[in-house]
Amino acid sequence: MMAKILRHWKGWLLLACYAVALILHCALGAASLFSQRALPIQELALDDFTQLESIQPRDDGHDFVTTNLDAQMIYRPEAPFRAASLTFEASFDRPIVEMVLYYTTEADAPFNERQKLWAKQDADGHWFFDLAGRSYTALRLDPDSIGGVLWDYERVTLNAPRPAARYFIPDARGWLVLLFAPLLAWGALGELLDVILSSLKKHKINKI
Amino acid sequence: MDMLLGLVPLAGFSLLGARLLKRPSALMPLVTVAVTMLWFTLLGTAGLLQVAGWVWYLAGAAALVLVLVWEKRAVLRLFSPGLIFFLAGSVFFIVLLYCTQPLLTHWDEFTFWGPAAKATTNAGELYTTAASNLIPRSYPPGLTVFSYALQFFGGTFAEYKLFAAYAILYLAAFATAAALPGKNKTGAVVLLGTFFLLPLLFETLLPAGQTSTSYIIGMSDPALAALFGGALCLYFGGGNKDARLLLPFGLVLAALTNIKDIGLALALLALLIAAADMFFCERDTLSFFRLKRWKGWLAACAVCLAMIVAIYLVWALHIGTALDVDRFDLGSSAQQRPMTALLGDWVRALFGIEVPQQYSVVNGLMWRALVSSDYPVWLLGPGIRVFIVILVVLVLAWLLCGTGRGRRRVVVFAVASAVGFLAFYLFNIFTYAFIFAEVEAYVLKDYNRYITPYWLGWLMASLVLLAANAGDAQREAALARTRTRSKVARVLLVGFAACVLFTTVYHGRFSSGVSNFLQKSPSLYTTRQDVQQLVTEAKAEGMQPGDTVYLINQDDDGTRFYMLGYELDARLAPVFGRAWGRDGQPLLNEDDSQKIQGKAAGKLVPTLEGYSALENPVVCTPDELAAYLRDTGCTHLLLDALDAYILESFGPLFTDGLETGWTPDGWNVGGQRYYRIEWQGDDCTFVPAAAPEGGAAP
Repeated sequence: MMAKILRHWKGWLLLACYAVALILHCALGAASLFSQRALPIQELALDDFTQLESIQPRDDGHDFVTTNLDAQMIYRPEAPFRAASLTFEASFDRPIVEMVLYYTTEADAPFNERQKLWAKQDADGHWFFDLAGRSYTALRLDPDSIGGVLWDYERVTLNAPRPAARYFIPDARGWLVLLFAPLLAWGALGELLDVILSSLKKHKINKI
Repeated sequence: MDMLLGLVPLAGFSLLGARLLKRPSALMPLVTVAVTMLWFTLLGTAGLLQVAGWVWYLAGAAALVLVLVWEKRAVLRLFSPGLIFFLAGSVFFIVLLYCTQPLLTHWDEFTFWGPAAKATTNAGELYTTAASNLIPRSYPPGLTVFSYALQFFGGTFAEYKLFAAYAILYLAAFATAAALPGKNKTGAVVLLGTFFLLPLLFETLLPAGQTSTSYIIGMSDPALAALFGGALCLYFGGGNKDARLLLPFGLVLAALTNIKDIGLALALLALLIAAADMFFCERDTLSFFRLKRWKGWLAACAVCLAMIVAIYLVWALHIGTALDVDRFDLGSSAQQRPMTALLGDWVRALFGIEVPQQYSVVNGLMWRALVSSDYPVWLLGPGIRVFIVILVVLVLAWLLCGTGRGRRRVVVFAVASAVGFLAFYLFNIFTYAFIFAEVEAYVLKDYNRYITPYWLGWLMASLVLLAANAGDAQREAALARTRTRSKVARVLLVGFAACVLFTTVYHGRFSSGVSNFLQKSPSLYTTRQDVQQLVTEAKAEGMQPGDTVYLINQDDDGTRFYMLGYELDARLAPVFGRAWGRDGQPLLNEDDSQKIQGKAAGKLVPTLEGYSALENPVVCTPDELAAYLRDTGCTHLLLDALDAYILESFGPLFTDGLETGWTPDGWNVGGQRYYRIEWQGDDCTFVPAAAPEGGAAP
């Protein structure tokens, strides 16, 4: 049995690498589940936003209209805060192009292209941004990049509860890492074990 | 899912090829794909595309059975990591793309690549002759017929199948990585993983938005890269240089030529690199049928060259007879000059005898682009950085080579491929300077897309040369020094793969919500869905495939015009304009130097006041439009977006006066979309398409 395993150890090692990766992934998922569930659910009213840019109130049955391509809702509380997610509920009069969230992690830092997230839309039409439980100093929600869009604000929620399974299903980045990292670990470990095994063999031969 | 059937012939031919040619089975998917493309092209030009399909599937199944009967259980031996990578990866992409259903979104995918593939599949004949709204019909058909081959049993054309077919083509090229490390499976698998990630590193549409197009793109550039790199990997990884290797190599080069015109340049450069290697490193061992040494070298090069030239001429002949297009007539319609005259201009410019302004500007820009971050060719910036990586890989490969011949091979490759790059780059300068229109040339439009194929292929081939040391060099395996070297090479490959993975995952387009081949962004297809909705409405209002439709869109940059042309079964008439009739191009300005991608493509306006030269508004009165509709044989009118001018001046021509369903500034709010044109003498009226004949006259 041992001999058989040793003969095919490279195949087994590959499987082991994938198993370890899967366990690590689940552990990380569980860790973020517990740490992020602990964060308080916070509903943001419109007054909580420090600044609304290029967004004007209406009185024709819609709450707002965006007045150019670069409408912004900026949230900059006095103290830094930790957040797991941001959920945006609103209805628009046409399909929305490029809804994004900018963030800063240092006080008074300007918003920039590197610190930017794209929205995912849930089945119920809510827009969702994954903030990963890190600490932030400000958020800037850009509701649309068309301009002239009529829309109704419903609510913005920080740390809205999500089904536990969502923490364990990998996103695109997660899939790539899960698929390729074990392969690389296998490549590196394989070489290492090869060296150890061959030196062990030599040792035996010398003894005889 | 009918595409899975296509894997039967691909697997069958690959296994049979490996058995007959006695070469690593990892190389055979690429050869099979190349032969498939050539087979369908040849029979397609003879009008026998459907026959080609039946023969391909039946012969492929027969090949599979034959190999199974011959080899019995030993067939498992042929399933190398490379072949498994190709087959499993193909199944993965077919299933994945079936689930995610990605759509075409880019300009070029609607002006040529998408409609060409759609017309070919739906009509069962080449797009040169099939009925469609396709305007340029003379581009080579390699990719299109490959997509046709794999959706042969699918009935109607599906976009996800087009993406899947091209992904299968890339996988076939990447599978060649696994040939060189030979029996060492670790080296092979790590290199396969690296090659799979390379397209994600070389995003071809870098600045144009935040979506990743790798593995979900209908354009030809990644296929050029894959076949160029794949051909070189085939040559270097294929073992003894004899007819069993060099004929398949020539076939791959022919397939590369048949993808796009620039493919000819890439195929010739790949042949140059292989010829140099054969001459300096393999002259003593080379054999081509019974010819040896320099006679064999000459024969091998001549045969490969003949295959490239042959497929080029076959297509030239086909478009000459089917379309009356001269393939040797390069140049944009702005400077209709024969190719020889343009090449003459180029040579004069190269030697500084007579330097046109466009040439001197482009020349300066192109050399600056090599080092400037404004022209990135991959996620890590300008081309010079790819060059540095390639150089490091080649130096390592040289250091790790145990034998004199191995070292000579690396040096010869380095020199030949650098000369090849220089030639390729100069040729691209030529196209920008003499073929492109000024506005496009001065911004080096699509620079990364045109240059990346060489960079990517060059890097693939360099990695394979490094991997050559990663295998247990069979003859010298007993030497401890060789073993150490191959171990170092393998560790280096793992390190390189780790860098590629890190870069693509953390600097690439894989953060949350960004669209890529694994996840869709909801807003990506807004325009597509909108146009599809318009077609659905028009069909509900009575649009028939035999109609000739004139589109009124006062708010289009040309995107929606081409998208509609792609979606419609009906014929879409060119937009009204002074350019009508020239080349059949619908969106050209008078002097063609400003191809429309500005704001208003073919917008109907009362005067030119207030429009810049870059836009393409068309001064048009109702009478002129009526005359135009009669000239072009239009039967129907499709309203997409209107404006105040149309509502006011053209409204009276509509029997319903366009009074309901349109806002004063031309937004559709449930108004009628599709109208029939009725004639009374020279006057026309527009009647809702579903209304009874003649009954709705005012």
